[in-house]
Amino acid sequence: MPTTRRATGGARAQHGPGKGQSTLSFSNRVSKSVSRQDAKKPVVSPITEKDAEEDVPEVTKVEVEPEETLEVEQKETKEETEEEAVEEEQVPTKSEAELRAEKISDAQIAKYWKNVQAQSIAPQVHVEDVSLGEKILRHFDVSLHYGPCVGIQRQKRWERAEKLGLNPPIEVLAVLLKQESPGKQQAHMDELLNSTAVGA
Amino acid sequence: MVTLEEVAGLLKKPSDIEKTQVSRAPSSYKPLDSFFLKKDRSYKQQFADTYFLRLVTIKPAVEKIAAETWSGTVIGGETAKKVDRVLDIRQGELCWVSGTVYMDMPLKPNILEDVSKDRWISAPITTDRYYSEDGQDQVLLEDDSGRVRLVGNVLKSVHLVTGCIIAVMGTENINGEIEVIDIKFPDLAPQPQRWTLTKPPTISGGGGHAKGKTQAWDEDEEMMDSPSPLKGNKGNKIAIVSGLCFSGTDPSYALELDLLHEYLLGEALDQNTQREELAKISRLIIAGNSISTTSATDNRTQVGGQSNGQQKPPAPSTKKYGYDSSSYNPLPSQLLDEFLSELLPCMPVTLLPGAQDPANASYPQQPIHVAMFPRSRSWCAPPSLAGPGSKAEAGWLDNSTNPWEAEVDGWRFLGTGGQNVDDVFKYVESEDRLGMMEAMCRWRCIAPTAPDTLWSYPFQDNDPFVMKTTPHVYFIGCQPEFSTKVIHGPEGQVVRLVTVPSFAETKELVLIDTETLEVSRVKIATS
Repeated sequence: MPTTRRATGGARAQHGPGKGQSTLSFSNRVSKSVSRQDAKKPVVSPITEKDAEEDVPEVTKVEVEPEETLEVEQKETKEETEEEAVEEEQVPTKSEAELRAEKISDAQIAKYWKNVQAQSIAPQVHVEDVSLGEKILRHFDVSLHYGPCVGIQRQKRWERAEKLGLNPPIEVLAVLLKQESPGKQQAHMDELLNSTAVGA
Repeated sequence: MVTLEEVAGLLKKPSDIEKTQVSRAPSSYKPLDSFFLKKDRSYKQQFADTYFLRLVTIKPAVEKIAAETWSGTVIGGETAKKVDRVLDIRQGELCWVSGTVYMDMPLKPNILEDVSKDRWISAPITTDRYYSEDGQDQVLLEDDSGRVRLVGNVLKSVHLVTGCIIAVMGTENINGEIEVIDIKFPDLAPQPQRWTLTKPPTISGGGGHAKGKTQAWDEDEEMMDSPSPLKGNKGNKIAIVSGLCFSGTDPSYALELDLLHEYLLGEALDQNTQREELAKISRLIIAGNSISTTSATDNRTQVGGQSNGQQKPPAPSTKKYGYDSSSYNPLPSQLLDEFLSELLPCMPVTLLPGAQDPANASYPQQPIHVAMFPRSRSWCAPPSLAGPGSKAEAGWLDNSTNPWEAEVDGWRFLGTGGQNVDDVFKYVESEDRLGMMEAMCRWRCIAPTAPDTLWSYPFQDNDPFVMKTTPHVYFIGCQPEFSTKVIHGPEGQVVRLVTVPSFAETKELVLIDTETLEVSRVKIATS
């Protein structure tokens, strides 16, 4: 008989008569390591590492459940691993650019900024109280070569430029990553154009 | 007592003549999800992103062709050289540059004009043509630095609309405009081989260019009962029809619709024709405007006016949002549903929404929801949790997006419901719709006028209207008449262009042969 597909939750969220039974944890079945911030699936997240350790001895104690549910869960974990595999593939490519960006030191960022400033004829004014990182980001915002800066977040704009093959400077991504999250993702121009005045 | 044999002619025993069952030819089909939009899409982006994406994607191709043609050209003692930005062209220097075209036409609907004249219109004005005869239209070239006006007689010899990417060679004149000497388009994109994504039905081994990935569902769909599919496939046909315009109020073409139904089912005509011709039709593509919007409100207000004895204008209070909801007529979609549900058991159907169909108003139109077809929905693909475009197989009834791209019997098909060509039609002077379709292929953009005059979604990550690959067949539905042409590209690409006429007007449908890609037209007439 083909495996039937149960509603979401499966063996995990059993109400009623099944409530008394402990749920099997499948977090230890997944052997690939997924970075914590990327595993945003409701199925896996409630199970913390602690629970996994506690459940391991229980798994061996619990009697063998009927085959159907096991098959269902295997199917679910297979789909989980597939989804995680997909996310895993995305995670390395994201972190490839991010890894390179994280290696950029502050000195390199300062050198990059010096080069940029050397290309302009006059020095910038009215930017005394803007940090170096923010200056670099604002320069990236107004570089029309990478597209308009309004209506798109800075990091997304950088990644889009990278995907289109425009070679955006890696130092900009380094600055973006060095900001504490969430950081200033909205372009300065965007903030000015879309500013809403809060009345008194 | 009378026995049965004595009474001849009343009841007969079933005859002993063998009747062979004719089965329909199989259709190998894989739709591409290029035009699906996410369900949770946001509209906060600016349209400038779409123009930027288009320019960045097509610019390398244009510049390559322009560099090949113009590098080393010497005109009047000056060598043409490339400049990076549109604003870098200097007076007296011969140079070439690429950018996006913008057409400034006074007849185009302009929101700034409306706001300044303080007119609030609920729907945009639909004029027939934006093209003005007296030369008031301006052609400008734009890129991320700015805009420059183009002048020159060369511009009149080519079709130009807002949104196409071109390269121009010229010099700046006194007025600050560019005098154009030559124009280059990106020309046709690379064309995939036949059978790139699906596998051909190979019984006589090694047929076709089977370099695609094998799909399990594809093998299931190929019925291995025909002995030599490649040789015998000479007759497989794909039927394309558009503008069925099922309507609850207009019966003038209802008879032809019924005859079309019988023709496609194979019930019309004699058995020989059935075997030879009708069973070869492997798929039906409905290219838009299946439901007509001639609403019953006009009838009602007329009736109301006459019964009162006076000509009263329609009461505005019953109309909200531009239509009278109390007169909603479910009949058109019911008729379409009946048509489809009787056709589907024997023939797969692809349904594209059109301008008048119940799908969203902006381009790309998303599929008509299956809830509109209660009887035919059992033939649709089951709703998959992963969303559209996942690896689930397409159902027998594929309600698809407009525009639509798929690989049918190995050939790459691209079809739209007609809104893009109708919009381009308004910009240019000619009536030649095939010429506009060819121009769109050479511009590598299916809907260049989106988002200027054609409502569209603000794309931010990639513009699906850019043709990264050229299809083998490009058809457009809901056109006034049938026409077809074959165009060739610089790298040997061959594209068959077809305009499919609206069935409600012309009672014609189009058949495309799957081996030779020849097109034939079938007219259903009742007199």
